[in-house]
Amino acid sequence: MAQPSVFFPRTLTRKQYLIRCLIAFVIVAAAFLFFVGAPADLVRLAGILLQIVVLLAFLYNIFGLSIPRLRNAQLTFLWIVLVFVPFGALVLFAICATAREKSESQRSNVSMHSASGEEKSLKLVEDFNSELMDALDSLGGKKVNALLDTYRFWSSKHLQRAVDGFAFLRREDGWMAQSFSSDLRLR
Amino acid sequence: MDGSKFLVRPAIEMMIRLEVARQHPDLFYRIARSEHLQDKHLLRIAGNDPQLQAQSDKTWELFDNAFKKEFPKVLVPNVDDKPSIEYLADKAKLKPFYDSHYRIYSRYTHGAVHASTGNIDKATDRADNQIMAVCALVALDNLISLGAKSSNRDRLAQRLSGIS
Repeated sequence: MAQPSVFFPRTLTRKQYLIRCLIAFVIVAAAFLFFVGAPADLVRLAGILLQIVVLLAFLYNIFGLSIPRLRNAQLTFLWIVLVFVPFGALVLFAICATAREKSESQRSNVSMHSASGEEKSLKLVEDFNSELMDALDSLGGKKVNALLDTYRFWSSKHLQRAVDGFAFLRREDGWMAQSFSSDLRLR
Repeated sequence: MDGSKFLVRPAIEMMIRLEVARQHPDLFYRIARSEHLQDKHLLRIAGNDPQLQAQSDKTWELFDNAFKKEFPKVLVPNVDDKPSIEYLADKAKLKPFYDSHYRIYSRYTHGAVHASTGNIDKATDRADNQIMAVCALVALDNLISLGAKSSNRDRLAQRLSGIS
């Protein structure tokens, strides 16, 4: 995989994006001022320089600024199409400058787990526990003679007890105790 | 930190032992042998009662004979060292669980600072239920292979892959 470079990073935060936009703007503005204020014998050269700078800024806006920023914000790259629409570049700039950062969306995913994800996965553990108890019951009348099979039976029973205790503590105490102690954690 | 986290490591350890015993009977023997030697050591510490020592030796002899009868082709390992959980996990093809989950939940068992103060809870909360479900699935599969009935096994396994 290609290593991300300083000029073309893989992702950009809002702050990094805005700083780079400002630098690009200053460079384009400098080239423009040079063109406007250039003496007559240098106008042609300044014009070519301005065209090159604008072209490079246009390309850099796509590959060095917008794509890394959209990636960071976990937005589709289709927003890049806006640069080909009149005033679309300004809209794209507004989107990139305001879109939330990856860490924020990850944080919201974590908080999503604490509600529905926790309930869903704990219910699964409880259902596994019920199934294990039924499976153990179904072996009630059978005789397990072999040494290894006896070990496996009792180990499975041991595991079921751990799962049972876990589910009980998780359901009864876990989340209440956790919210109570959250303020006491080491900072 | 809630008390349920203390039960995660024993469950993972049991899962590893269960799987390694199923796949490698010689390691099952080694586990039993090391536990017998540990029992002898504890009996020595507790006063070296000859009656209890003899009882322990007799129990081991019964196990030894039963094992050799059940697995006549398995070469009984002549090693007294206790096999580490890391080694057993490797043999049971569960090393990834050892390297991630077992190591992390051991910090609760050993009362590590970040574990006892709840600082690693955020990292483990998402995994607690999932790893317990994995352990339960291994136990369920073992019971099924012993002849137990389980009509919901596949549905539960599917739900587990859905939250993984």
